[in-house]
Amino acid sequence: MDRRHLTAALAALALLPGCLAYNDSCVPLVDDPDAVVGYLGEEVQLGNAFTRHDNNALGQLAADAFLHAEDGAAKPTDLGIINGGSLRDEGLCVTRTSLRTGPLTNGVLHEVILFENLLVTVDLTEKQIVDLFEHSVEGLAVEGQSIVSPSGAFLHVSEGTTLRVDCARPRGQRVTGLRVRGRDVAIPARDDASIRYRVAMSTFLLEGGDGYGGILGNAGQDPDRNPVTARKSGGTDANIAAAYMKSTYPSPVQALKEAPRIVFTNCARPARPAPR
Amino acid sequence: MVFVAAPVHAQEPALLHAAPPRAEARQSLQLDATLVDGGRVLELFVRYRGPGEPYVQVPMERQYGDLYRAVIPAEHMVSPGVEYFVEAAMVDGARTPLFMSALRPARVMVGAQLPEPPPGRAPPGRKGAREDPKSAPAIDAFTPPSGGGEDDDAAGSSAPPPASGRPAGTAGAETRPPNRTDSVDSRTSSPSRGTDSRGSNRADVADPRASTRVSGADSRVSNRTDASGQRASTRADGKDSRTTGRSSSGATRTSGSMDDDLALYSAEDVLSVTTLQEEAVRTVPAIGASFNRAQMIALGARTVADVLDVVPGVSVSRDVQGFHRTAIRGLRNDAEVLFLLDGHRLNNFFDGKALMNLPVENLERIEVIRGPGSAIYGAGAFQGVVNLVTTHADGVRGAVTTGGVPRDDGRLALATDGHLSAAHTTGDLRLFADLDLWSQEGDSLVIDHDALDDESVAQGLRDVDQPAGRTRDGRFLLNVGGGVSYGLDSAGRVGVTARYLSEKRDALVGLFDTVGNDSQLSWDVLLADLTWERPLSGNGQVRARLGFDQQSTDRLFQLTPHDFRTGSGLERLFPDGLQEQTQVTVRTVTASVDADLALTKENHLTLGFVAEQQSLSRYAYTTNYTLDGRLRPSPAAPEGLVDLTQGAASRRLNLGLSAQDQWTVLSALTLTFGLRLDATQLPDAEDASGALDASKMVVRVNPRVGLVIAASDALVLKALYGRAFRAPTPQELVERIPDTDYNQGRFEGNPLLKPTTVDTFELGMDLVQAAGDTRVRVRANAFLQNFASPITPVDTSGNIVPLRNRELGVRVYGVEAEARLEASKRAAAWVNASLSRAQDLELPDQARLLTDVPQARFNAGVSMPLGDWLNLDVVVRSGAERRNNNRSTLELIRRYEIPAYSLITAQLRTEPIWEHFEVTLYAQNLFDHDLRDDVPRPDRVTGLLPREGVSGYLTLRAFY
Repeated sequence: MDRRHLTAALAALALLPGCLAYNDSCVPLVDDPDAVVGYLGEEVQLGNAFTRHDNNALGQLAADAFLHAEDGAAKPTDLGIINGGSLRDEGLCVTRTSLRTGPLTNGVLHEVILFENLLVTVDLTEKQIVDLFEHSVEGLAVEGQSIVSPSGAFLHVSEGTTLRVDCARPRGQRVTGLRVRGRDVAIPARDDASIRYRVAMSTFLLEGGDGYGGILGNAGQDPDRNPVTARKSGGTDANIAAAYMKSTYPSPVQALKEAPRIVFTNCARPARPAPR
Repeated sequence: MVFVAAPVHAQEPALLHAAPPRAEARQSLQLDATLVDGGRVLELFVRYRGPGEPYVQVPMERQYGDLYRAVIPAEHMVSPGVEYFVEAAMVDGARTPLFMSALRPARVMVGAQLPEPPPGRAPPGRKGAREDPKSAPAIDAFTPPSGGGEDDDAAGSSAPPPASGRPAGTAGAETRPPNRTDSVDSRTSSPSRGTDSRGSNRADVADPRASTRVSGADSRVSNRTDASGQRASTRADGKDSRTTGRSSSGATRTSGSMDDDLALYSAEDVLSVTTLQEEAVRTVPAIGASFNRAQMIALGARTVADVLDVVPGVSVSRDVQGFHRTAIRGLRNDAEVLFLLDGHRLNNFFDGKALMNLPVENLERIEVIRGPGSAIYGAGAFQGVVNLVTTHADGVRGAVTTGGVPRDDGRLALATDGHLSAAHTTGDLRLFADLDLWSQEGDSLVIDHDALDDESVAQGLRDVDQPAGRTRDGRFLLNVGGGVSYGLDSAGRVGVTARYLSEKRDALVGLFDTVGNDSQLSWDVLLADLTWERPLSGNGQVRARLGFDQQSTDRLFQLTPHDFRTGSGLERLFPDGLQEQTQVTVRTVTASVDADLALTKENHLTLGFVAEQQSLSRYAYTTNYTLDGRLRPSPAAPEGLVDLTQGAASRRLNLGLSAQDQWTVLSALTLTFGLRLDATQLPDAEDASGALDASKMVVRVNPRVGLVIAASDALVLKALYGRAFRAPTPQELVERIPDTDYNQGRFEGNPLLKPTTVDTFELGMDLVQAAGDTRVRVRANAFLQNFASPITPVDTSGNIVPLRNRELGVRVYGVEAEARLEASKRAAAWVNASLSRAQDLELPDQARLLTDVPQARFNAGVSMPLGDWLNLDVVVRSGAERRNNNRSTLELIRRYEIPAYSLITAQLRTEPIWEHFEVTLYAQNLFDHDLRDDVPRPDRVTGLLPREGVSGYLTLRAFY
């Protein structure tokens, strides 16, 4: 064979690896990844046990942001919820087990609230509310057991809402108390469709994700439930949370801290690392 | 004895010439010919080539009157032979072959005087066509293709034997008058033309193997062979040769086996899958590859997947359930690669998967087209078409392979397979039967982590430091087939074939993200065909086929370890683990008719009609657990499961109408136009009721245009365009399984799915070059494929995978190249490389690339003789690094990187021993490279999917 051909073939082979291309998965999800959106007043753990089996500051931030997404509407929102599975530790390039005290950047917030779900506010009945929380806590481990594969369905709640859970009780009867925006909810729930609560949640949950389909039914499409999709900040959960953080926790003095909104009884609790 | 003349028409020029069967080495060969009706002929040329060389042209000088003469120089007259044809330059500038053609040249053997054939075994009138195979096997099957073309018993009755090796120049004049008569085949249907251009006579009786192949080929299912051999010569020479399928098939096969034996021009591998006619790969209007038996053996391939993995542009990986998945040009989707077994579709109607990983011992050839095939095959021939052609050659063949995989505990996990087949032709009756048995224990490799790590440890089912489990790869396969065909003289030929495939195997890992060693997957396939074919007057053929198949799959997956608990209490304890079982039965009835019509000698039209009724006749999904995780007394369907056998998606009628025209505008230029119209019955989801009871016919038009230019005899250029489509499978449309924590990783059916289409543009080249004794074939192509509304499962919710059409489509482009160097029959080296880039256009730039299959593949092999009796084959398969796609957030955070790999297989292979036996010793993944494939949940099964390590096998083949 002609030597030139051989050389050309070898050159082509040598160039081959240079033709490979891969996605740069580290590209930030937002234009201003380094912009500070607010301050964390304490270290926030992102492991599954902390986002899916306990109160979590970022979960509460998102739920609060949801609660206020439709501020100014004719009927105020009573409750914001976000499932623990929406808070991720994997990140785009590196897994983050926790977020340090101090400034939180827009890029990191978008990696934690990763899914870019839209936010919808909708009317739910009292029964639906209670069923939601029963489903939320049914997978919680009893005190003494280890927390294994906690369910992402676990719900964080917004300010003004307190949920009491007794893990010693059988599934479906674990919610012992529920107070929504200062209003006590009857446990067990009254089967009265006229009692409505306005709840903000992601389209993921509303469309049946994490096993909520049976409880929520077609509430997202039912005009009677008055579903409203958020328009603020592009309507996505992460943007709404970022905007809320900016306005609510703008300085190290006014920093985000976890509140004891869900009160656990007889439940296993994740062991928090000693403060550094 | 050798005589060929052109049709003696008033206007048509014709050449009276006889090819000498044999010539002396290193002595120039003089060729004489008489031109008849040469008024429009300006010049005559002889174009010849030595072994593996491109054609060289010499003018034929007019001696006197209408006698022309040319001389092939002595330096080209080397063993084993030369090939040539005669071409005329016409007044209008066209070049017309007058005697044979570039595709089917006349062959002249060059070499020493051969021993006389044993009396009685061959008629005396035919010399030089045979010899003792042991003494010179390379020449053995070499027969002059322009020969009298008689069958053994018919030949030589009147032809005076020319002296072997005499000066050929005299042959023409001397043999003309008597041979003219002699050459008229008694079965020729157009005797007035008096031409027989069949590829070769059938003079191989002295060699049992060769004759076996010759006659055996007649009974091949693809009777298309017959037509093609016939048509190739007809089209190329412009001479009619209306012969029966049988004789021309014999001719084709003789020349085929000659190529195999000699590797003389082995660059001309054939494909029948592109045009329904057997054609040389280098000139078909598609980018294809074909592996014949010898190549498969030289690869050391044991199964179809082994062969596919070395095709440029193709990668075969496995998934956690153990299925082999074929990716073509950077995309991997089971329903988008059409698998055919002797032309019968293997893809399952329900999920599009094909039971394709059959042993290669029963296969004569594997044909692969990358790119669309819908213009011929309709729906599903989308990313590519793979046709598995079984061997029906006369004779008895058997093979036994035994070996296995060394396991960690030092034990050998046995793998044994056996093959037995036989075929016989008696008069008009042909019979064949074959049997493959395969049994393997399979590899057992460690899976460190799965989704139930924490639970299993918490429940005390294993220790923290114990792995989640091991792969299981046991498999039992039965492949049994048989058929009979009968020639009804003028009424055509009728054939019946049936085949039964049965596979039982373990799931390699399990359903999705957990190890389930008790999983059992079984798959039974029954294929039956009734075929009829008949030559038409005017060099056409009509074929009809009635086909039936039934596929039953029964897939039982164990989802958790034994004694797993979903909670406290006896009803939440699962002694056998959680289990689910899916049983599906589908049936297809197909009726098709197609016809080849030679409109003119340069224009060939193929028309086809196919009607197909597919149905899902059984669908059962049962679990041994309830939706809230309690043990069922006996497996039952979960609440809310939809019965898929009802509703419009469970039945599908496909109607296809196709037309394809191959028009040889000039001898160097062939245009192909194809069009197929498909009407596919799909559920009408826009129907207001939402019940999916209504259906609608979706019509798709699949055009194909091909331009094949033989720029010179050495170089062929192709420009191709094709469109293909596929309809969503019933699984993609309607399967919805109630979601639990334990059965994740599901498709979620979407009745709104539309069929997807792909437009493919390809440019290809094929170059054959020779230098000294070695020949090099180089092939390369570039392609661009635009997929519109591809059906892609993208995990967005984490529990189930909703299917949808990706509106902005997917684009793939790349290049593929291969080169093969043959130094002798036993010494060859080949290399191929492919590079593709697939982009999902729905995504932002930084996330667009689809990289879950290797973007670059590099394969190479070398075969070399070690002494007279032993050959060494080494094959290297390499693939570039793979990474997760980034189509969804979940894919973004479920990261994996699979490093580039190189697997080496090596094989020691004997030459045929006592003509009947062959032994190979084979090692796969010789250096025990740690190859891994991707898993759907790399965050849970963190070590990905381990693939087979080193394994060794000993094979004994026998043929009679």
